[in-house]
Amino acid sequence: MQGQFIYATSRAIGLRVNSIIRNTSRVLNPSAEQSDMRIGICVYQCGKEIYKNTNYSVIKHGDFLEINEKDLPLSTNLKHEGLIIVSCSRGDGNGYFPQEHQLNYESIESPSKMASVVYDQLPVISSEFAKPRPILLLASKVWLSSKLNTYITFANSTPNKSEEKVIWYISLFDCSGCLVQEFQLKSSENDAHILNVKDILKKTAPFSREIEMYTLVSRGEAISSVLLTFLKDETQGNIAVEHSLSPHYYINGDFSRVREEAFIFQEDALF
Amino acid sequence: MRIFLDKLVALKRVVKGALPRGVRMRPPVVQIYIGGNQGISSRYSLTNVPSFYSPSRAYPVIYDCSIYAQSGELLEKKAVQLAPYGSYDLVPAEFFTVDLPEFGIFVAKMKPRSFFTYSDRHLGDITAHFYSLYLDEVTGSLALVHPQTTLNPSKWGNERKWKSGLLIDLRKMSKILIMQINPTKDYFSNRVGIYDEDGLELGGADFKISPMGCQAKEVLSIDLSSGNKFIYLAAEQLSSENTKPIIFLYDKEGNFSGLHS
Repeated sequence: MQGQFIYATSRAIGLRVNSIIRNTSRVLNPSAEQSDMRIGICVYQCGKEIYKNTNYSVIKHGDFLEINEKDLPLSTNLKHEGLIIVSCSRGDGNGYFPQEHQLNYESIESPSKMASVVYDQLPVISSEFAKPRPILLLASKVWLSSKLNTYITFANSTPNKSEEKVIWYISLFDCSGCLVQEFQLKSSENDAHILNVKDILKKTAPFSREIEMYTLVSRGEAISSVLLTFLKDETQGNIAVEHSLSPHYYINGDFSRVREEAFIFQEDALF
Repeated sequence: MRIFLDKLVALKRVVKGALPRGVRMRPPVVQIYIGGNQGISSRYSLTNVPSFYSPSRAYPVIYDCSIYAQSGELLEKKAVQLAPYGSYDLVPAEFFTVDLPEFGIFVAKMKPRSFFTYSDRHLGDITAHFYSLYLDEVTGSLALVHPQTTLNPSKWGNERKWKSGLLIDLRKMSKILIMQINPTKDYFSNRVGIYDEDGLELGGADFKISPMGCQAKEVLSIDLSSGNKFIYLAAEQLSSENTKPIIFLYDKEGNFSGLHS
């Protein structure tokens, strides 16, 4: 059974990330899953693979492994985000097994400022079946003020080694439903990016103390991707982080049709 | 019998697909409210979800919102309409007219403005998840939490144990605030234990929660002694499916971060 936990660094937000990779049971028959978990790690930076170790570690059942950002061979250039893919294998076969892992973020300047998030690993898609499919994701929400900023991190991954780019179409709507900004984010197939939403909005008037809320919609063709939303109090440095919810949380109907229509959105008279 | 049930499920799916949107909405989504003397403000991001997944057929929606006291008493109900692609940043202190409690439950149910909306049947059933943001103006502390659960979800049996997937570094904490909701019609009680990496219980908190009520308990890290670095939470049972506690982790300076456990 296999899974992959995908995450990105968040240097542009002034954060350092450490992951806690878990090996636990989630079914009612825990004895069936009490086997060791084999861990491999692949690290990308600027779209290029810079480290790979398919036998990084083994985690016994009930135990965990900490992976600290500082222990990874990432460039010291804080402008280059890193993409980390942790592959997890347990038992036999290539099927997917759900397993939650944890990310701990702490401020590089003030390590006492921190936030954590837990989310499930994704299925491993072999090169044979790896085809990008349209994805539409609503980010958690965007809240902005003179003190508050929102950052969205994109982590894309694919088993392909092509030079193709992934294009994310980003749209920002205000509360009345008006489109206030849109642009394209071009990314390598294995790469990480951070959007500073205040920079995207390019407002001419300064933000006030009043909090403004926006909806950020990202549409793209990807194989595996993870979006996280960070809120940061820029005066005191406190942070919050949460993962986005994939469409199956919101709807349970015809996903093929939703995918087809995801890009109609792009061409609609709305824009 | 199995074949009969499978046919029944398939028939139900066909029938539901022919029903108007007004019928095919999942139950309301619920989340804890924090305010009052805590010095923390809560806000909830309501979104016209169907319009983003079926953009060429977008329609206005109405959110029916309710706030319940810690005891489970319904305090107020009020509605707000959202335009296509619209959203609403609901701040209970500004939205509701009643005096708000220290803790409570916020409930939001979305429906189309027109009951007989058929245009987006391909979306299936819709759950109008919202995000909760908890802010402390003084310390600048933030907590962003995705939706918890829906109203009156299927109850787990008493034998369903829960163990949090979150490992907490106790060395960095001064206290943990554990908050639970009970979005059911029954009284509920449990103990949320705090365990070290070896599974040894270090402490915990006992909860007794009325129907539609909630409760918050503090556990000081000074009361939890462990040679290990990490702790985790666990309980013999939760009030219903996915009602995992929301926790705030306070550092020694009084800042908190929060998440679902």
